[in-house]
Amino acid sequence: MNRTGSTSTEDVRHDGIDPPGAEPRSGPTTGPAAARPVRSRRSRRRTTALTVVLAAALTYLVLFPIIRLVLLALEDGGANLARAIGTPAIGRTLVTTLLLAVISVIMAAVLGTVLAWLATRLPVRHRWAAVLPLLPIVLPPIASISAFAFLLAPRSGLVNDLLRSLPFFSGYTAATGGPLNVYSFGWIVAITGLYLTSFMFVFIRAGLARVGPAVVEAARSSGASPTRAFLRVVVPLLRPSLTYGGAICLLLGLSQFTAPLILGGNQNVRVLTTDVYYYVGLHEYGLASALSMPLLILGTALVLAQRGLLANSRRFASDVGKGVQGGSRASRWALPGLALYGVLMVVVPVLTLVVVSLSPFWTGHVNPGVFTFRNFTDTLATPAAQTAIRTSLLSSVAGVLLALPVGYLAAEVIYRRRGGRVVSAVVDFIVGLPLGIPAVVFGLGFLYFYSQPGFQLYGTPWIIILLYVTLMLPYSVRLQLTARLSLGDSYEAAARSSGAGVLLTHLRIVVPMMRSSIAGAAALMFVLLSHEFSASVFVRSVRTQVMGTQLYDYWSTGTAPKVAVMGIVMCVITAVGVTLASRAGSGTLEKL
Amino acid sequence: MLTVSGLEKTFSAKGDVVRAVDDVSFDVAEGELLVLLGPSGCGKTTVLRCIAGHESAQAGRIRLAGEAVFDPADGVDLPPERRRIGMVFQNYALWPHLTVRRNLEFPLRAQKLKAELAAGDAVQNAAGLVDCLPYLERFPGELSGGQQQRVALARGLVAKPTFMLFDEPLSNLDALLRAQVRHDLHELHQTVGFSGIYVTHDQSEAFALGNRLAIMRAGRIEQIGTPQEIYGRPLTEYAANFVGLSNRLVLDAAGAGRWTLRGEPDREIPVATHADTDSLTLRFRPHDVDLLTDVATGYDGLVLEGKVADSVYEGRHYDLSVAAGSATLNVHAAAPDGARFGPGDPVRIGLRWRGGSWFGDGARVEVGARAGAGSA
Repeated sequence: MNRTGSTSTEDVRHDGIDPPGAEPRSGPTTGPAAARPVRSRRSRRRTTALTVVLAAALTYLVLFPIIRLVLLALEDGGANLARAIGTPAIGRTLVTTLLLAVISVIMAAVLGTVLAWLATRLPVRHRWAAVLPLLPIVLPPIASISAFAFLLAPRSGLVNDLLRSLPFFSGYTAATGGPLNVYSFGWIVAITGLYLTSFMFVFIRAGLARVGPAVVEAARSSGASPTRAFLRVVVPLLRPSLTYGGAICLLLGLSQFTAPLILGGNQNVRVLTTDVYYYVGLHEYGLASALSMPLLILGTALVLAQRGLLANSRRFASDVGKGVQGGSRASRWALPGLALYGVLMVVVPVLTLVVVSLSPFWTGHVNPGVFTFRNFTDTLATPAAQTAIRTSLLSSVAGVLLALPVGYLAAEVIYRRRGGRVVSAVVDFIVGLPLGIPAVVFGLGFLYFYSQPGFQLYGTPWIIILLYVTLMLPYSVRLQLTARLSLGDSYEAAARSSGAGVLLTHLRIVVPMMRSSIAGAAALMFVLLSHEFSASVFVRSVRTQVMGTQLYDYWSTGTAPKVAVMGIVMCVITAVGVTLASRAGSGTLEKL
Repeated sequence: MLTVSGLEKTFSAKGDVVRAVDDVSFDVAEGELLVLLGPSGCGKTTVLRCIAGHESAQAGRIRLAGEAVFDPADGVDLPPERRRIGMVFQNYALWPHLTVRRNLEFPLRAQKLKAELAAGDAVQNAAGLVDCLPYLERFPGELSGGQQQRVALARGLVAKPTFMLFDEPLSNLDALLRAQVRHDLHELHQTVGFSGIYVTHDQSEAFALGNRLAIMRAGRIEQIGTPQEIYGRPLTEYAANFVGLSNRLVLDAAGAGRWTLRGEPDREIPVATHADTDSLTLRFRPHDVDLLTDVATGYDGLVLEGKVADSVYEGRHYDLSVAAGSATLNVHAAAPDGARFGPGDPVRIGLRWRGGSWFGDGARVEVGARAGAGSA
C-alpha cells in the first residue's frame, strides 16, 4: 500500500443495491454500479458524444422554457417582480396560498399516517384494501373536484339539498343556499387536504416498511397498547418520512391549482397559481412569470434537497426490513377506515358524476324518473368534445412513446454515470425538475417560450406533446431506473461475456427483462397525462383542447351535465389505464 | 494461457482511495484452474472482472492466449464480447425471459457461430456435460438452484471459450448441494480440461478445485502455490489463518534467547530461533494437538499446561477451549479421551515440532527446541 504516483482514480458509487443474499461486500470491489466499463477510446468517445447529445436535448426541453421565464421575470432590472409586488391584494393572495398549503398538509399528515398504519394492520384476506388510498392520485382531479362541487355547492349541491330537507336546517332554503358552501376557503382546504392525504400515505407507508414490525412487537411485548405503541414508537421513527413527505406535500399544497381555480372563483379565494393564470388571461406574461418565481424557487430547492436526501438514504438501503405488512396483528378498524376514505374520494365523486350526467339538467335534485343518456349522445357528438378526446389521447400516447426512450437513455446515463460524473449528475437533476417545479410553472414557461419568434409551436399539438414529455420525465426515469437497479449488473455482464455487444445486450437482454416495468410505467404515465390539466390549460388553444381543459370550459359556461359527461369519459380512460398498469406489473402504483 | 502482470485498480469514494487491486501478477497454464482465495473485499472479484473486461484496470497488462486484451501502453482494452471467455456468476445470471435452450444458444448467436447453432450439437453437448438435457425447454425460474448453476456452467462452456472465469459460483447453494456441484465441477475440469480462474472465499472449495491457489489480501497476492504447498507451509500468518491454522499463541522475547508465554511472563517456553524478532507467533490446527497424560515424558514437541474453559461435544470429537497464558486455544480431543475433561480441569497439551507454523512479524520463521532444555 505504499506505492506512490497512482494513475488516474475512478470513483465508485456506493449506493448500488446488492442483490438480496449477496455476500456482504466491504469496500467498493464489486456491486453492480461499481462496474462502469470503460471501453476502447473510440467507443468511449461515442458514448460520451451520445450522452452529451442527450444532456443537450434535456436541457433544451426542460431548462430553456424555465430559464426564459426567469429572464422574463428579471427583465429591466426586475421590473416585473416589482410590479408583481405592487399588484392589489398580493398580500392576501400570499397569505391564502400559505394557509391553504399548511392547513391541508397538517390534515394530510394526520390522515395519511392513520391510513398507512391501518393499511399495515389489514387482515390477510383484505390486503387488497391497502391500494384504496392510492386511487385518488389516479382519479382525474378536475373530475373529482367538480363532483364535489355538484355535491356541496350552496344552492345546487346534492348534499345541501338533502340537508335542507332535515329539520335542523329548516332555516336554509334553495334561495339562500347552504348550509355547506364548497366555494369557501374552508372547503377548498378540506378537499385539498383529502387529496394530499394520498401522497402522504405513499411516503408514510414506505417509512413504515423501513421501520419494520419488530419494534412494534417489542413495544407490545413490553406492555404497550396498540395506540401507545403507535404514538410512542412508530410516530417518532416515522419522523424522516413525515418530514420528507411533508415537504413534498407542502409544495403540492402551495402549487395547488385545480381546486382553487374551480372552486375559488365564486368567492374570490385567490392563490399564487390562480393569479398566474389570471394574468396570463390578461396577456400580462411578465407579471405571471414574476408571480410564478416563488414556486419555481421552492420546487428547484426541493429537487436539490431530495438529491442530497436520497444519496444519504440509499446507503442504508440494505438495512430495509421486511416491512410492517404482515407483521402486525390485524385490526378490525383497518378495513372500515380505508374503505371510508376510498368511498369518500372515489366512489362518491364517480357516482355523483354518473347521476349528474344522467340528469337532463342539474339543480341538486336527484330524480331517477327523468334519467337519460341524452347528455352523453349530445356532448360526445359535438366536434369540440371529439377533438378534445382525440387530442388528449394522441398527445398522451405520443408523450408516453417519447418519454419512454428518453427516460431509458437518461436512466442508463445515471446508472452507469456515462459521460462522467458531472454530466450524469446534471442529467439526474434535470429529469427530476418537473417533479419539483409545479406543472403550472411549466405550462406558463412552455406557453411563453414556444410563442417566441422562431420557436412558435403554440396552437399545434406539438407544444402539448413536448410539455407532456417534460412532465413525464421524472416518472419515466425513476421507474426505469428502479427496474434497472433491481436488475443488477450480472445479466448484462453475462451477455457481454457471451460475446454480445452493447446494443445487442440492451435489445435482447436488458429491455426484455425490464418489459413489465416499462409497460407499467407506460400505463401509469398514460393515466397521468390523460387527465393533465394544470399545465395543459396554459398551452391549449381553441383548436387544441384536451379533455381536462374542455371540461373546464364546460364548467365555466355552467353546463353541469356536460362537465359530468367529460368527467366520466376521463374516469373510464383512467380505469382502462390503471387496469393495464396493474396487469403489467403489480406495484406500479406503489412506485409512484 | 493467461498472463497478468502488474495489475492495478483503485477506486475513490468520498475522497478515500481504495487500492482494490495492487500490483497483481500471475500466470495460468494451459488446462490449469487457478483459485483466487480470500475474504470478501480482498480484490479477488475485481481481478476477475478486469480479466473479463467488465472493469478496466488503471495499469498492468493482461494477455490471453497469446493476445493482449488489456494494455494501456498500447491503448488496448478489448470489450468483454471480444475476449472469448466463458463466465459463471455467483447469482447464475441466467436470463429469466429465455428458456434454458435459448440461454445456451445466446453465446452462439452473439458470436455468430452459425455452424454450431445450425448443427445443434453444441447446445446438446454442453447441456449433456452438466446433465441438464431434460429441462432445455424450461425457463430458469422453474429450475432449482443447483439446476440453474449447472445451466450457468453449460452457458459458460457452450461457445468453447479459450478461458473460463468462475465468480464464487457455489456460494448461493446450500451446503449439501455445494459439495455435489463442487464434485461435478472437478469432474468437468478433468474431462473438458478448460483453463480458468475460480474465485472463492471457501478454503475447502479452493483445495478441492484448484491446481494452484493464490491467497489474496487487501488487493495483493499473499501466497501462490499448489494446495499441498500452501496447506503444509503457509508463508505468512494471514495465509496460515486462511488455511485453517486457527490457533494462535504468542511468545515474547525475554532476553538471552529465552521466550516466555504472553500473559504469563514467568512461564518460559523452551524454543529457539535465528529470527530477529521481539515476538513469535505459533499457528496450528485444532486437530494437530496431542492430549498428554501426566506421566508422558520425552515428548518431542512443545508442551503447554492450560485449563479447560469449555467442552463441546461434536460427535467424533470434543472441541475443548483451553486457556493458556492470555490465549484461548481450540483443541480437538478424540471422543473417548475428550470425555474426561470438563470446565476447570487442568490439561496438558502437546504440539509436535512439525505440527504448527511459526511466524515472526507476520512472516514464516523456523523454530526448534531450545538446546539443553527439557520438556516443561
